[in-house]
Amino acid sequence: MKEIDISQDRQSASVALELSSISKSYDGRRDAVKSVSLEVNHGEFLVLLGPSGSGKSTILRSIAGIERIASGRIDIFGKTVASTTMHTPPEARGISMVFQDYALWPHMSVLDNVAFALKRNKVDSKTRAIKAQETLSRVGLGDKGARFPSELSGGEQQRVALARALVGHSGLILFDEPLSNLDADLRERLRIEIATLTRESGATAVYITHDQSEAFALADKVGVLSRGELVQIGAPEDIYLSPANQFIARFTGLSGELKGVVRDKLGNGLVEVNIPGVTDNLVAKAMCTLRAGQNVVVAIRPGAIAIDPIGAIPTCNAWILDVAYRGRGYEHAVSIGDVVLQSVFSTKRFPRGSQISLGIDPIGALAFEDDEKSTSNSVEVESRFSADLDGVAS
Amino acid sequence: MVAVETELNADETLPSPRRIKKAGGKGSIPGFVVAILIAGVLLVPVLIFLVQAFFPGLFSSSQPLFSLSGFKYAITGGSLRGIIDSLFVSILAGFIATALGLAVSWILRRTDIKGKRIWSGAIWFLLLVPTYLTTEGWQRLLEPSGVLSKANINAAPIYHIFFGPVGVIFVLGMSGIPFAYLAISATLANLGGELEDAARVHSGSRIDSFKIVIPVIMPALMSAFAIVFAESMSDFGVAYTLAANAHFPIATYTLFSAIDSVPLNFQQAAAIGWLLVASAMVPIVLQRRVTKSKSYAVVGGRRRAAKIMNITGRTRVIMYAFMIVLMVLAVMVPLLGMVSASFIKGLGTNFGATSLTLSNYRRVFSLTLGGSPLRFSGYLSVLTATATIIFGAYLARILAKRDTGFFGQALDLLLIGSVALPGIVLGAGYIFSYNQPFLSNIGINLYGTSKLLFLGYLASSLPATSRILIGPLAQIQSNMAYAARVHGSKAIPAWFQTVFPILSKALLSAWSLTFAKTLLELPLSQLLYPPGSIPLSVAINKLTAGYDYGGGTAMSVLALGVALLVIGVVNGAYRIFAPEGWKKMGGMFNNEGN
Repeated sequence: MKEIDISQDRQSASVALELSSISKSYDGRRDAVKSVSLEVNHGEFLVLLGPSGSGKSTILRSIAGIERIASGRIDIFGKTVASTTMHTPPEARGISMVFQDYALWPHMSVLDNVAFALKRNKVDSKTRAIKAQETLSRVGLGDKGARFPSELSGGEQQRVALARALVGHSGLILFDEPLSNLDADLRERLRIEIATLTRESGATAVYITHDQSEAFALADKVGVLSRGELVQIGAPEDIYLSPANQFIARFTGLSGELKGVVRDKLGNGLVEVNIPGVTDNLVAKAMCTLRAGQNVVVAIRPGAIAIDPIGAIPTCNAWILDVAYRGRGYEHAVSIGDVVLQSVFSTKRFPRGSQISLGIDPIGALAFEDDEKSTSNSVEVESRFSADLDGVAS
Repeated sequence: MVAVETELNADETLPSPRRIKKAGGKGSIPGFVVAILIAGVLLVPVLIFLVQAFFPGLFSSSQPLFSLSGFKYAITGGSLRGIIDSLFVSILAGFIATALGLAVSWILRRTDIKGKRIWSGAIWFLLLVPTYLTTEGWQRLLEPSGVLSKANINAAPIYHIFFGPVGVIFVLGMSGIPFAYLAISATLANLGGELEDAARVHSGSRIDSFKIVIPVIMPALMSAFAIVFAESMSDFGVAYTLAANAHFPIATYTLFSAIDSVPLNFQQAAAIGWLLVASAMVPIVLQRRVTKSKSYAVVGGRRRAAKIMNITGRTRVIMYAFMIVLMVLAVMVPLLGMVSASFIKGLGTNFGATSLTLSNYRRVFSLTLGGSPLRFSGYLSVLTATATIIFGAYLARILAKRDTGFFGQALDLLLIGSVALPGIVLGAGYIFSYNQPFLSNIGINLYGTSKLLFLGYLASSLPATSRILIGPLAQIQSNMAYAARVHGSKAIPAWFQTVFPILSKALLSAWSLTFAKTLLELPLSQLLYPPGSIPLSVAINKLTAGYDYGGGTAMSVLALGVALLVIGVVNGAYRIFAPEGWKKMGGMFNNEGN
């Protein structure tokens, strides 16, 4: 196969990747992807974020050409590579990919694994070896070229996979949850390497993950997927501060949720909410059109809560249930009414069982219309707090 | 065949797309070809033959269309005795082989016994030696005018015990050890040490921890029993030699008799065939049902390697003694019997001086019976082994997929059933089906040709080989080939660059095993050999039947030697010429202790 020269297209097309209403179902049983449309500009880093079964892997594998779409269209650098009636095979799409399970070829040395991706560039084997060695050095594995993948650690194997994706300068790199098999410390280090090396290469990246902290840390643009649909796409800050719905708010990290009734509209998009048994004047940001007397759910971001607040933020009483030391401070689980708010941060340690006064910043208190019409606050919320997001919220 | 992909010119940026096939692409041309092949060589001939048990008049106007008289014959007199004898020896052989296989697996996988490569090699060798050769080795050694008798050692009491049911059970039990070992050893190795550690930590003794492990590995034990039982029920080697001569009829021989003596009685043979197939299938089906109904999952992500027991003192002596005695009885004695008999002149007669000679080998080579059977069987075995791994790998690829669809499920069922299909039933099916006049009318004249024998060999080796290859193929991540394609390699080259090297050792093992098994195969060879071309196994048995024991054993030794030589050369070439990375990949029996 001839080398695919996409440089001209890259210059001429500001949109590197375009998905137009793509859909995909497996054996006609369920829609894995439902009419997803999005654009990724040249050099942009898009992260598709969603829980298991949201369709993110199917979208990525459709872009790669591993899956065939049922309808819609996929364009890479201005050329249609898939539609209802045609399908360009993966090898002819001029892309690179980092797989979740690394997919390194165990019978090839590390150097050969990386050099493989240069074969399509039709360069001689000597040049391939030199370039592969250079790329291995960039990912910190310059001395491991002669080894076999089984002789490397998980982190090193994923670095080899990254080097294989980078070496060919393919223009579009796909990342299929590359960090999910690694432990926390290694994940953070490799995340930084992926971010810097990919951006240095100038490539456009599409990265999928179920981890919102990873998504917000890496992305220029985040697309949130739910049940095969793209429910919101935008800058990480927009997704975090103005989630389109309760699902996105929950999936991108909450301390907890409080159910209540709108007392009044305050202007500037704020509403005053009565939370029975907790407070009658919680100020929250209205995430949709709300009117007085309407039932709402207030989703509380972790960064919006302060213990013993100083200033004008209205307060309510709470009790400390649990406390965990986190190095730079303490994370508390607090009981407020019959709701537990998790990941409440303070530099000061509050003992278990102590009563505190809690302030909630309206910027991180997001009021959504409550479809369940119940004012009970016994809502179970999976806390997906990440310390990385505190800064975003504040 | 390489898929048609888009070629790019240098000035093109991205290829023009190709039209896609029907989504999913399940109805591929290679799949259709394999389906036709499976139907033609396996399903249709066997079914047509077995249907004769109910519809003897289907292809013959002289018989009633429907009759159950075949079954009446099958469950009375000598046939009934044959079935009962077969069940009896197979059950005992199954228990013996499972118990010995468990002991061998435990010793090789969980202790630090020395020489694991040698022990594994002996098990491999045992797997290659057909039962008729083992029987021949023992008989030549023990018989009244045999090797021991020539050396003035009175082996008559042992011979009288061996020459009957005890010998049949013994040979089948010993031959079953490799199957039991393969079924049990992988599970033992994957068990990890936590279960035993937990038992010991909570005050259990070594015996207690052993008691805990046994139920956990019960599926493997059941599998071992089912395989040995099915192999014993299907065995023709002992039936044709030891059992027949000792007037201890077993079912495969009664089936053979029905189609080897005039008048041919396919209806009776088919009825016995039904009973044989059903008997062989019962434990396999039961084992699958039991393992499906209960979770025996013991392999988890957090598993630690099994603890290797450091054997010392009396335990050490007992274990070495056990392994040595077992291997002497299973491998060394029959081998010694064959080799020594092949160098003795006038063996089997009470006349003439006993002397060591090479004349048996000279005679075997000079006779048309000698060189040409070796060439003929060697040629067919190479062809069969090569075709088997090609089609077997393709079938295994279909079956290793998670969502195989209806075709995959039907194929899976057919291949499982065929693993237990006795070679004698397959051979009878071929004789009956491919001798039908209507085939000749449409230009298919395979009966009595070496092509039909080749197809028979292929049909008999394909089910087991494809099922064996499913394991290695299922372990290969599907992303291996996708990663190559995403980085620029076309579909077929991507498979050969990524999957084939990983599979190469398993394919080599499968090729070696199929080659040796085919070279020495008896039932199909006996039933289907074309006039003028005698396969090795038939030649050996012809010589032995003619009381030329020296010639028979010389040819047996020669056949085994050639099998080992070819396997050695092929594997040696792989070691020398295969890239370093290929050799690091596991083989079919990569879980063997070493």
